[in-house]
Amino acid sequence: MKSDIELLQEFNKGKFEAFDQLVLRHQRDIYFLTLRLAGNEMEAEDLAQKTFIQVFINGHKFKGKSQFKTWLFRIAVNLCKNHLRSRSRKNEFGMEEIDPAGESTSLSSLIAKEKAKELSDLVNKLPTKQRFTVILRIYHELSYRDISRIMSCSLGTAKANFHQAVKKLKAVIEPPGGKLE
Amino acid sequence: MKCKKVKSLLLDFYEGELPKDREKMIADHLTSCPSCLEELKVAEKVMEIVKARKLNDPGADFWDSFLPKVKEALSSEKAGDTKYSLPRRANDLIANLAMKISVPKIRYATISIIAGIALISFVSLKLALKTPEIGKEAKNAIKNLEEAVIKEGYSQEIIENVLASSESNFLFSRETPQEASYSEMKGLYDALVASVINSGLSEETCSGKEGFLNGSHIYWEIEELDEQELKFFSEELRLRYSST
Repeated sequence: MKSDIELLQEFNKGKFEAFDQLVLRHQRDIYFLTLRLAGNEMEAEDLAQKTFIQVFINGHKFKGKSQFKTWLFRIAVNLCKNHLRSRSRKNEFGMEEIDPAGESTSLSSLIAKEKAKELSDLVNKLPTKQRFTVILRIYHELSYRDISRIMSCSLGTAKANFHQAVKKLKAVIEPPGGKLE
Repeated sequence: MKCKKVKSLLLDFYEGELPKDREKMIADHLTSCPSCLEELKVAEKVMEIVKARKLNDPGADFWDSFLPKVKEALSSEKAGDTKYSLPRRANDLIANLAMKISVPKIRYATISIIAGIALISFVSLKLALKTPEIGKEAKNAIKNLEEAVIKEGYSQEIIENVLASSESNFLFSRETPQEASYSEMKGLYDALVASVINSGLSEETCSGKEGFLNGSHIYWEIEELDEQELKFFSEELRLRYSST
């Protein structure tokens, strides 16, 4: 199987099938990323499409200093940042309750689901940088180095954003003065 | 190691981000400190719960239609869609069309010359359109451009928007000379691409298609123009204003 870089090089030489393969390979990651970042399915689809349009247009600008996926995520994150900024200027409320995947209904899973909802709400309310960092770290399992490249910040800042966010999230499940069951 | 220090490192410990020696120190500490161990459990729980929150897969139809939608957005069919503003998209597509002719990196001097020629020819064309005698010739040139680009698969609408780009018109019809702004730079790029294509230069004439590449390069890096490039464009603007 050809690497992302090889496909991009082929695309830059005019082979459009290579672009198609890049889209098919990364569409899930990018859509789920934009869905978590934008919190709205329609907007997420639009932002995911725009991400690949940017790849189509700017493919020749990728210098190979990072992995293709990091570059791709950076495009998606920047589009989402701009989108959220513009949405907040318009005072639109775009964060919807994203429907989580179906889960079992055992008591323990119901409790977990309730906690998960509470945490999810809190994740959505985190400051943008912390929220983006949590999403990139927890759901996309990216290294702090990659997160720092995507978020255009230092490695220390990426870590600090994540630690601050987890600290806030911990408050939700931490029983006041008590121990976890 | 003190509890305060351990607690500050627990998340890194959980994620396996610590050097081995430090990891061992924390592991040792946790065997004898219930408070820090409890803190670790909370962190673990948070990570587990947040991670367990999966999203629904939108289904096969969604994924099957994703690439066609991207292609549709790239085509001119949805050019009027507000998702991706028309003039911007038109420029992108024209620029991309130009980029399809792969190009080696070129030097600033070459860009300047090509951009200069292209810019002047474009401005001449704009002025020519206002003069009936030569307007016909200019209109024919535009028609040729339209045909060439339509042949590449883009719509009439796109071409019209490139040529009628409000920013380009604004740029060349304004009376008061000012410092070149971002939108002016963008307008200049519109002019550059349109005129290079319009001039009918062959790939060879463009010296390995440098004009196109550099045009697009300049456009995409426009916010990062260096002083020399900015000066060049500003100078071109001033020249235009003083002669019209």
